This record gives sequence, C-alpha cells and structure tokens, in this order.
Amino acid sequence: MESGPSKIAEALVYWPLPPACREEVLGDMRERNQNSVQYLVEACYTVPSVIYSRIRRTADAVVTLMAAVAVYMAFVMAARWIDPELLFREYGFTRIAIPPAIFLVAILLADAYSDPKKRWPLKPLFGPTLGWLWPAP
Amino acid sequence: MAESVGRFEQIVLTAILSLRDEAYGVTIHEKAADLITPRKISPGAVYVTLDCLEDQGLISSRLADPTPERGERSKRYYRLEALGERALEESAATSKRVWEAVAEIWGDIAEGVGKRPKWNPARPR
Repeated sequence: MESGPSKIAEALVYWPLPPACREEVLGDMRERNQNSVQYLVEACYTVPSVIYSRIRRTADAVVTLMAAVAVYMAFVMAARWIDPELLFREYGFTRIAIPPAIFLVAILLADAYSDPKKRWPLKPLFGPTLGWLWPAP
Repeated sequence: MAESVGRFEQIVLTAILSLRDEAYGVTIHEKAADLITPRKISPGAVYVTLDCLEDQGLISSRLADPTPERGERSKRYYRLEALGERALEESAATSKRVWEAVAEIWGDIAEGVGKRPKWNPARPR
C-alpha cells in the first residue's frame, strides 16, 4: 500500500521548492510523512528555509548591489529624460525604486530556481538581450 | 587554523561524524535533535546549516540512486571533509575547556544543572 503523502499535498510542496534541492527535500519529507496535515505543517517550516538557503548560495551580495545601483540609475536617467517632473513629485525617487526592486527579486528568484541539470548555453545572453529589447518599443 | 564553527554547526557536524555512511537529511535531523534535547529543531534549519557547511568546504555531498520507499527520490548523503574534522576537533576542544572551567567552579555538572550551588556573592555593605 502506498504510504506517501497525498498527491495534492506533494504537488503543493513540489512547485515552491527550488529544482536544485527538490529531489532530496521531497524524499526526506516523504520519509518523515505521517499524514497530510503533518506533511504540510512541516513544509511550512522547511520550504522557506530551503528557498532562503538556495538564494544565499546562488546570489552574490556585491553583484546584487551593483545590479541594484545600475538598474536604479538607469530608471532615474530614463525618468529624467522622459518626464523630469516625475522625480520631483512626492516620493519621486522612492517610487522609481519599485520597478528595480521587482526586477532584482525576479533575478534572485530566477537564479535560485534555475535547474543545474538543465544548463542553457545561451542563458548569459538572454538577460542583456531582453534588457535591450524591452524599452525598444 | 581551521574554520571556526558555531554551536548548531558543531551539532550538525557531530551528527554527520557519528552517522558515518548513513548521514542524510532525515538521519542528520534526528541525530541533531537527540543532541540538542530538550530543544527542538526544524528540518529547515538543518538544510540551511548543511548548505553553509558545504559552502565552507567542511562537508561534501553526493546524490544517491532513487529508492521506491522515498517515492523514487534520491537521498543526499553528506560526509565530513578534513577541514570539517579539524573544525570539529577545535570546537570540541573549546567546549571541553569551557566545561572544565565551569566544573571547577560549580563541581561536576554531569549530575544536573539544577543541582549546582546557587551563585550568591557577598553584597558590599
């Protein structure tokens, strides 16, 4: 008889886990499984720690800081060029920091969730190409 | 000089050392929980610590073949590296010195922390 967690519970845990550590974490959780409630409660404690650990391993603090400054400056320059008034309205500089912050979180998560088994040789070119094409229209 | 390790890292390293070839997520968590009794630890904390120790080169890991009892999922086995052994040795030596210093003042604490004489310094008049 199958003694593992329910398929729904396992699917709920499968997707938020970064692919690099999905295999062993899901296996360990299955081994500790007693029932679906215990499984999901354990997942609530384990999954955030695993995601944090994966981000810590894949992100470089200096590179992230440099990317943050570069993207923020690019947005400030673009705002100054398109609509200088925007910068001098209330919280102008803070509001401009929102898109770069989203961009940085996306970069951090994309690195953390990249699958080390599926390395795409053109991946280093993908980001800059997208960056050039995005503002083109 | 070897890398210095914190208390929880010391516990995880000790768990890996004592489990030898059977050190993977579940067994390491169980052993670490035994060592840290009566406090509880979450498996997430163990995964974070294992990743930190691996980044520092104190331990290494390998993925084993998938097994049916784990739903065809692999185990990640961990082993202590030479650097890890040295770090654990230094950390254990420090703990021993602390234990000896405390035992010198309070007597043998192996009888239980609750049984130690209360610290009651003379108050200045």
